[in-house]
Amino acid sequence: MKCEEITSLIRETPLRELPAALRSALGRHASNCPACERMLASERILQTAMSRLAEPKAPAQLAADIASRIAQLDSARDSAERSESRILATKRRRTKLGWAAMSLGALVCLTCALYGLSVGAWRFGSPTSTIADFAHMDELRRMGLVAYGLLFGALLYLQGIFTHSGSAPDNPRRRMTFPGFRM
Amino acid sequence: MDPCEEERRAALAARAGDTTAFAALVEQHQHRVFGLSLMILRNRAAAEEVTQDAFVRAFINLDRYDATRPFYPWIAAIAVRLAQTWLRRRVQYARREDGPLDAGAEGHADGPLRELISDERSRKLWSLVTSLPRAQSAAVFLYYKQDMKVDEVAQTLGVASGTIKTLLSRARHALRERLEPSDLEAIDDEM
Repeated sequence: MKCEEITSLIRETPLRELPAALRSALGRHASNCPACERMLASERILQTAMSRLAEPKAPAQLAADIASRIAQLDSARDSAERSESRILATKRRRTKLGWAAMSLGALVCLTCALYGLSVGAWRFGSPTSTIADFAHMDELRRMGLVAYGLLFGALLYLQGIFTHSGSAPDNPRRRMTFPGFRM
Repeated sequence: MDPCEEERRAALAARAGDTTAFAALVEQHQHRVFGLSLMILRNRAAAEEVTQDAFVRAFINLDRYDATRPFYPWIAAIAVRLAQTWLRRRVQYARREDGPLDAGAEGHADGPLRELISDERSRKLWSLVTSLPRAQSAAVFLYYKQDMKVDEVAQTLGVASGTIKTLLSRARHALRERLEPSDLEAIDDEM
């Protein structure tokens, strides 16, 4: 190894990073070259100095401060979880209530419609044949036709509900909404 | 038990919510993280704040910690990022307020440093290293003092390994010029 090579090697690379073979070659050269030996020694001293650099002690209360911040974080997380589970329970209750109300409404509609339909069909024949002279119908006939409409509406509404509930199983952003119910 | 294994277990327990295990990790690494923060920020209050934030952030993000690796480089990387953010904010604040940076808060100020490092020669060496540019002093501290490998230092500081070698080389060059022969002789005597 030449002195220039050694100089640039020592200047550019920390001694610790040099491969063992290179380090021993360097040592061999330095033992016969006083200039390189001086440079290597000074580099060693410098690196020892840096490794002996003081490590300031952290303030005594630092660990306690960190522990207290983590405890606060924990309690905040617990309370957030509790409040989230409360909100979820309320939502579930409202959903159940909504379903019950819708089912009841649909059942009433269906009963009315069937009743009207049966009365209309029995007394006046098929309800569809009487649409043209709706204005001339008597009370009972009108009731039959309205009930028929209610049935159709209720079925459509139920169809909508089932479609919604099928498309948004667990995604909270896509939870179905019902008119009149806050989810 | 192997210290790394112990540390890994503590980290896994902390991840499962065991705050006592995390307290052990804090106890083990707080001085190193504080020293690194102080080396970068040169401000005791800021170093304390950054150390606290680093541990709190580590606790929150423990699920991202790779338990097959040592804990310290991971927390040191968090502390370095927080310190960089702190410095950026300080510069932005100084620009907004149209005033100079608060030079009095720097760790060079002998008072606070005297409280942290009692030995005169160590204090002098510390001041010399902190007089280097921040990236160089952080690299020196992590590589020589905290005995990290070049790759680990690079990962911690978020730069390439080649950059770390350059930073270390420049730092050694600058220190060689600034260190007085009497200091080198004293260190040589101690060796």
